[in-house]
Amino acid sequence: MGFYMKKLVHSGMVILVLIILAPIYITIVHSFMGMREIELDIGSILGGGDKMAAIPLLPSYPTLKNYRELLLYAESFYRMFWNSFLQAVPTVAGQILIAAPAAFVMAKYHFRGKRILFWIYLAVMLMPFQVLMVSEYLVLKNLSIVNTHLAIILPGIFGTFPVFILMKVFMNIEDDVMEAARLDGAGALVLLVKIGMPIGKGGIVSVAVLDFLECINSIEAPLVFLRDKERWPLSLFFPAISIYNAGEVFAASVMIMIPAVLIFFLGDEYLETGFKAFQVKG
Amino acid sequence: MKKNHLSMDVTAEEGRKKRKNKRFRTELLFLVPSLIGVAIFYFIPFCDVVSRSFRPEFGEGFAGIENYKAVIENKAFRIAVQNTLKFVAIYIPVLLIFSLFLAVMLDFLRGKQGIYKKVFLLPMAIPVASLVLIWKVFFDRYGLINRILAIFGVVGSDYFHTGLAFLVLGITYLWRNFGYDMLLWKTGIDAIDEELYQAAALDGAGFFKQFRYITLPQLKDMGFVIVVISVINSFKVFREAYLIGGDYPNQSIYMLQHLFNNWFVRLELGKLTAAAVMLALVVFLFIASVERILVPKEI
Repeated sequence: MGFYMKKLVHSGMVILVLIILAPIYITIVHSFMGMREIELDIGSILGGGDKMAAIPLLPSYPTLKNYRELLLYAESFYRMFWNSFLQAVPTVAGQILIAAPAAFVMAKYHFRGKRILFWIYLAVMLMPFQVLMVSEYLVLKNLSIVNTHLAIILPGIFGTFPVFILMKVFMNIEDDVMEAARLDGAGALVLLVKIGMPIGKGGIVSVAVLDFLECINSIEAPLVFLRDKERWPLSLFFPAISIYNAGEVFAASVMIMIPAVLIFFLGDEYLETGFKAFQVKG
Repeated sequence: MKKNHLSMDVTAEEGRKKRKNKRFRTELLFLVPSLIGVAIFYFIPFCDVVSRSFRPEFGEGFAGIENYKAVIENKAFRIAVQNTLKFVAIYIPVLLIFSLFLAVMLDFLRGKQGIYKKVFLLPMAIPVASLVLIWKVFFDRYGLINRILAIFGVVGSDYFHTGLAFLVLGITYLWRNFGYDMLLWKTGIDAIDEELYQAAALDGAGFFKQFRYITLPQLKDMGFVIVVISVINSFKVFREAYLIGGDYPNQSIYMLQHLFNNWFVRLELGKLTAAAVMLALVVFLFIASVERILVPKEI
């Protein structure tokens, strides 16, 4: 019985895997197709005729033309790609740098007002972007950084999601370990670097991965704080798609996916450690 | 021996207190950068939003609850609230149950499941812009879904420009988040003491009884954390909705975020801030109701 049950569950999982991978696979396949073939496949979706879309398994005449044109000629795409990194990398690095010490103190030290502080951080974490949109815009305007990369980076750095998670990570450090190091005369900074960081490594990497994905997918903030399209990140790359540029847009889609998926797989090992931090000890 | 141990504890306690007083300032310096940032970019803006919500839309002075009245009487606001609530009420439970089911199945498979975990997490990493293009190929009137339906003789619909857009958005949310939630559930399941199951099995409890009386109760706390994360992520489907439908999508997926954005563009700040305060109150109420679980006891 158990054997057949397992087979059944495995088949269910495999079907789900196919459902997850199908959209990604279809994007990749189309990115290697020429205009003619794309037109045959999904021409009606792009605005001509009423023929049903075909299900392509492989391109009949694979070509790298789309990628070549995208990289050589689509200047805006290249700029947006670069903008995304200019915004995401400092945001994530800054977040960790700011959040790790704060989370460490909140997890391992006692001070007055900690509960209220935690409440505020929780509220910041859960508050939808649109609630603060207007006034945040005014703050950024007063700092005269609207329309610059800093308008995305600075508010991002002080987001409290990393504090929340890292705090849970650091709470796993045994008090005895802290006490022993303290008796050796270690200060808070040494404790953080020598004990907190090594123990929290998995949590920190997983937070960085989640935040990176969050950053390169962010749409709300760039849309409001960056009026100038020159500074738009790739997440706002959404050209009017037609039969003439469809191939390039598919190639662009693949290019957009690569860094995200790469980062994701690099940090994959640590993600689970990060997830364990959510575990509330009863 | 025991007494000795106790007295040592007491001295350690006293020592800790003394050191704490001495180091009080150094440690708190760690918090300062974060505090300043949160104050400038979140706390001060929030106070500004609250104060603006009581000012008239145009000109100076005190408007009382005029803006709030205008918001509540606004038809678009009602539609947006309805849609947002409907989305949360339908898809969050579906997501939670589906991902829990998968986590239990994964646990049932024991060893060989690493590849599933990896693939199931993948949707989280697919950028919104790429996904929107893929969805077009699938859900367009002439897209792949309708093509597959046609094989079975079913005439498909136009998924983006009818009420079905709500379903597409729901599928998007599930597709993106089920792996993440599943892994969180699985982490919770892994933390349950194996002996509980062994004892239950000795008492003759089967799979379902074990699930009902051991797994579920033990997952309660983790469940709340997952609910919170799922709520946060449910706000994010706006991104797909926005890229699929622009500022004014099909009415079925006109969310609060669309409304806020449009008010922002039209500079109707009175209504915008009043609605923002109301939304913030909902968030506060939500935190208050789950605080016991989210705020660690040690604090």
